[in-house]
Amino acid sequence: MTEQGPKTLQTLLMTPVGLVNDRPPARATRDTALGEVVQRMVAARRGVTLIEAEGKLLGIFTEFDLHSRVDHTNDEWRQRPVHEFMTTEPFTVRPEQPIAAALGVMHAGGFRHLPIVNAAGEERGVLSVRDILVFLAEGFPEAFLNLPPDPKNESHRRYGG
Amino acid sequence: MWKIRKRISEFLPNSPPPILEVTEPVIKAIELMRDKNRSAVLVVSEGRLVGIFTGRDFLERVAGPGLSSQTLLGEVMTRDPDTLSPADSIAYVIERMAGRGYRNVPIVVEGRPVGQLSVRDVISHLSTIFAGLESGDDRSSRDWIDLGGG
Repeated sequence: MTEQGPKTLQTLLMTPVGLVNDRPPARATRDTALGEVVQRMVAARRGVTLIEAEGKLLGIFTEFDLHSRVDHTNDEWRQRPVHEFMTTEPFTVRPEQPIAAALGVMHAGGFRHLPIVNAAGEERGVLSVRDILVFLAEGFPEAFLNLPPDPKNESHRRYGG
Repeated sequence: MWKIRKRISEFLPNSPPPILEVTEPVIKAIELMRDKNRSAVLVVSEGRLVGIFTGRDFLERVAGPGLSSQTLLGEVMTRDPDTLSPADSIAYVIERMAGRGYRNVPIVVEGRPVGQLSVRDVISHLSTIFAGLESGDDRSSRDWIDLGGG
């Protein structure tokens, strides 16, 4: 086999962001108490909450923000509104933009999540670095997913036979 | 078939991974994650890896159920996590993350932690390769991908 791997990878990278995942994020409004936001993230099994008003994105709050921005020396944080801790005007990606573009933004900014916003400014979900990794790995199951369970069982001969 | 040639050792950051003793409280772990800009800490006992505590663990096992941040790591960490060695292929890290849902993978040598790779670390490196592919320069991908048979 010759160049098929990289070329197929290129095709995957040109896939529009809107086709990558449809796992719904947790959602909240700016005055939702942080304790309630945490419960919604746990229920949604997502590490991200989109803060919005009438379908428009106001900000983003992540599990990283929960442990990096919030004072956990006591329980007072649970009553505080999420807008005190969210990132306002986050970088976003359009549903029709390719995965490669989203990867570039995530890499440059060190972001784990990018909200998806359409041309009309309406929130359409969120893309995580893990969503991208899963999408790429599923595109190449022979390279990433069909491995021996323990690397000690892998043949390290470069050419098979 | 093509396969990933890079080994985990080529991805490990120069700085040591964040490590805490199993008897430390959760508040120490979240302070360390914040200071080091990491999403997990490795938990040890007598120098050997016994667990991992992540931002997701804090969300789901501490903040969610309403536990105190003084709770000991040993009570809320993930015990005996899957580990890999620096000599293993990076493909195994991707398999652990994409196939098994891990966001962080501890790297150990003879039971002692030497590093930790997060999903963000892996994506950051992949994005460099992908940028080369986009521009039509696939030399970087050749460095990664074994196009030989087998």
